[in-house]
Amino acid sequence: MRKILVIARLTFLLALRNGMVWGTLGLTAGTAVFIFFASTGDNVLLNELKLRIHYSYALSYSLLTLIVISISCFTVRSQIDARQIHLLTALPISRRDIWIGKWLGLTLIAALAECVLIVVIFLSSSVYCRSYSAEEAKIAKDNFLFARYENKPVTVAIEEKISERIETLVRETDLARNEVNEKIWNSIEQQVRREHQLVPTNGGKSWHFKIKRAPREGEKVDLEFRFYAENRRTPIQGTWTLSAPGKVEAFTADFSALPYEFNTIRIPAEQIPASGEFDLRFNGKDNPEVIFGIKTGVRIYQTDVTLLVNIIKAFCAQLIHLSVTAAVGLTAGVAFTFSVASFFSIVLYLLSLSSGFFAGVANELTHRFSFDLMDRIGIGIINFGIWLTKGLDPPDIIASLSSGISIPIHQLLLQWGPGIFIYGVVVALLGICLLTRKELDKILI
Amino acid sequence: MGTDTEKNPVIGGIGLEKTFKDFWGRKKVAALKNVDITVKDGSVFGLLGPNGAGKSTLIKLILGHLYPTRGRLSVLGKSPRDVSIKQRIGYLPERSYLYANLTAAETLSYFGAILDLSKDQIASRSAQLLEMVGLETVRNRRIGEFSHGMTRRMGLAQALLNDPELLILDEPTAGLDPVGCREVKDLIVTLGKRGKTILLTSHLLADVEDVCDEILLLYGGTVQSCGSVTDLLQDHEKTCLEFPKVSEQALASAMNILTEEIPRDSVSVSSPSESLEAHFLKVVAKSNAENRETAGARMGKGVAEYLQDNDYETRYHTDPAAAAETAAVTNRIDPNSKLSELTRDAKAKHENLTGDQTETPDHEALQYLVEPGPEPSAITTHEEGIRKNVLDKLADDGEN
Ligand SMILES: Nc1ncnc2c1ncn2[C@@H]1O[C@H](COP(=O)(O)OP(=O)(O)O)[C@@H](O)[C@H]1O
Ligand SMILES: [Mg+2]
Repeated sequence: MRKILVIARLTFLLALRNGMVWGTLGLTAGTAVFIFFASTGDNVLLNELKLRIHYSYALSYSLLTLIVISISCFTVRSQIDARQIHLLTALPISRRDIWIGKWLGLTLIAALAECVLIVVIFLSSSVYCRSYSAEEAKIAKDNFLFARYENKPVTVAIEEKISERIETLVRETDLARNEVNEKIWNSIEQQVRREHQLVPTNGGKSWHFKIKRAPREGEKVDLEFRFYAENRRTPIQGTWTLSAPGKVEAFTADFSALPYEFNTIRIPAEQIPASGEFDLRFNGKDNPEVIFGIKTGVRIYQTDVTLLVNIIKAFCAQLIHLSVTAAVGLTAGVAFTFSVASFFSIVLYLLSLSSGFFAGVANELTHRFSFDLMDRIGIGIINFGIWLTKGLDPPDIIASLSSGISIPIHQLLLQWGPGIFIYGVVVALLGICLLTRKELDKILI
Repeated sequence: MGTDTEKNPVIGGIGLEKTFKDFWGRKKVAALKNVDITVKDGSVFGLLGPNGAGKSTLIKLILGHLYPTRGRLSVLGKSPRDVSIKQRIGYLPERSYLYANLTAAETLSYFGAILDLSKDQIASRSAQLLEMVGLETVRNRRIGEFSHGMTRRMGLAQALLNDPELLILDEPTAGLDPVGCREVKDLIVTLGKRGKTILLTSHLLADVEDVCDEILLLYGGTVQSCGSVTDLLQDHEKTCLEFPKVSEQALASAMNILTEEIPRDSVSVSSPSESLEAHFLKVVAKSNAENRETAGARMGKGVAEYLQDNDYETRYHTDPAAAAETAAVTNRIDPNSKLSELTRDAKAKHENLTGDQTETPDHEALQYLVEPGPEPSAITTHEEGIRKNVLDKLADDGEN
């Protein structure tokens, strides 16, 4: 372990001396500042900040990832080519430890760059705030200083509902099960999706919530909702009702709101049952057909953690991502010549950025009613591709961080964590294996 | 202990072969072919051969950087790839593989940390080593700013940091100034006396001759000769006499006496040593003449014609003696080159000593011969008594 740390320190020092550390810090910080001040929004400070932080963070982080891949490739490849690794391997240290040490050193550089990136972005924000009035600045501060936790309604998976519907159909009509074809399936699916979002004329709709924790006294709990209607300019009136089993008196709030806009209603903390579980019902007054989007339809926000804690969460998640990125670069650098290695890993990274697209394609395919062999092969290939690139998928946190929403770290670690962990382990094992088995004089595997 | 070391040599390799293949697995270069090597504990072992003979390849096999295509190799009783033996090995590569961006002191401190030395040990050893290799004044300068010779010295300091049992030096004197060479040779001798095992390669044959107990001569990846230096260099087909300066008549009569009068058994007989240089050139020239396959450099064909100045041409063509002499050594070596000078010297020395000369010996050469030679030990016979007899006889005849 001591030797691994020596190698890590050595890697860091060498990168510092040959300017790689300064280059990385300068490029990412420079890009962040440039994009922060170059983007423009609607001149409302809070919105401006959200947008600017989002853009500059997302872009400079992508750049940082690419830089980390390149410098990892470069350090290990240049040391193999210049045969400095020969001297290291003539010392009593296993090649596995050399690999791990280098990886640690590179992760350290990435961590440093990540810190600088965050500091630069928030410094830019505070500089930017100065050109606005004190009230606006206060609103922005209130939004950012405490991150809010976003509770989504509990929903039933769409596929389940479709199957349910088909069961009913088969039971109640004389349609045989094998007569349910793609056409019927698709129309039922459409119907289900629509029902899922639609509030009919003069009607209402309920959402079930189970929020993260029951709020403390005096804590802010906000209901945020947005709906779409045909006429954008006519406000819609109605009532929100919060009820829970065993709750004597339901909480109600009347509202009048425009379609397409975010609306907030504060719910007193004492109205939320201790279990944190309740139903929220929307009832319109003479309302037309209204649609609540799946993603931003109804949300409950509660105060969660301070900005610092939120930043630390973001930092940790991104550091995991950067360390896997460094491992990919390192392994590619061991396996291939520098040019091939950097090409390979950058392509892998770019693919990972678009893995959402491929996931969408696979999703479309799997949502179909029946599969033939070609479909299955296609899905298999796409899934493998998704797996191959998914490990490099950055954690989806920048949007939350830039709008002051608490990062759901448990959820993130459950959904994104295992994939990247397995990916990192596989890539590291591959790299260590290659470095150990490889003859150090050869250029290629 | 003696049998122990014979059973377990520090380096033992049998039937080593190394073939470099290209990306598709096609054979590219056969760098080593069926090489056996045994380095005994405590010996100073020299690995010789022209450029590309496979010396560095053999060293890389020993260090576990390359893996043999065929054959078995054990180093310090273990596989060369075993990490634990590296603690006992010091390695000076043929070129500097040190980090150009670290200072001398930093290099030693990082390498010392990997060698598990304590902070105090690192500090005291670094100071001593840097002083030994004469770099103590530049200890805080980056290695990238060193001259070639300085990096060699630095590499040597690095190789000695762990006080290794087995020291592997790939051309340790290459690029060093004469003082540096001398110091390195002294160091090798000192370490050898301390019982360390040293494996070194060198082109500087005189160096090898000075310090090595045993040598292995490679050409084109095959072993050409191998054994202790004294055994190898003793030429058993020739005879050598050694005596102080005498008059010409005395010499003539001594010759007479020797060839005619003195019974064969009373003449002191010994096998003269050829210089390692001559031996080396002989082996290389022979292999070259036999057109043996080598993946490395062949003997040069002399300076490219367009580079030869007019002066050289006239001299070469008008001085038949010079031409003949050069041709006698090898018709491929440029007589102006350093190598040619060396070979000429070696050849002259060798022929003078062995009486193999076809031309009449001139006085100068004779003087050189009869004066106590610069390297008397190289031609001294073991049987002092017999030698004394002959000398006495000569002295008597000279007075008469
Ligand atoms: N990595 C390599 N790939 C292909 N050929 C090599 C490689 N390393 C060495 N060789 C070849 O092997 C032969 C022996 O090289 P080397 O051992 O370095 O010679 P030297 O005796 O001068 O140290 C040379 O012909 C060289 O070209
Ligand atoms: Mg060599």
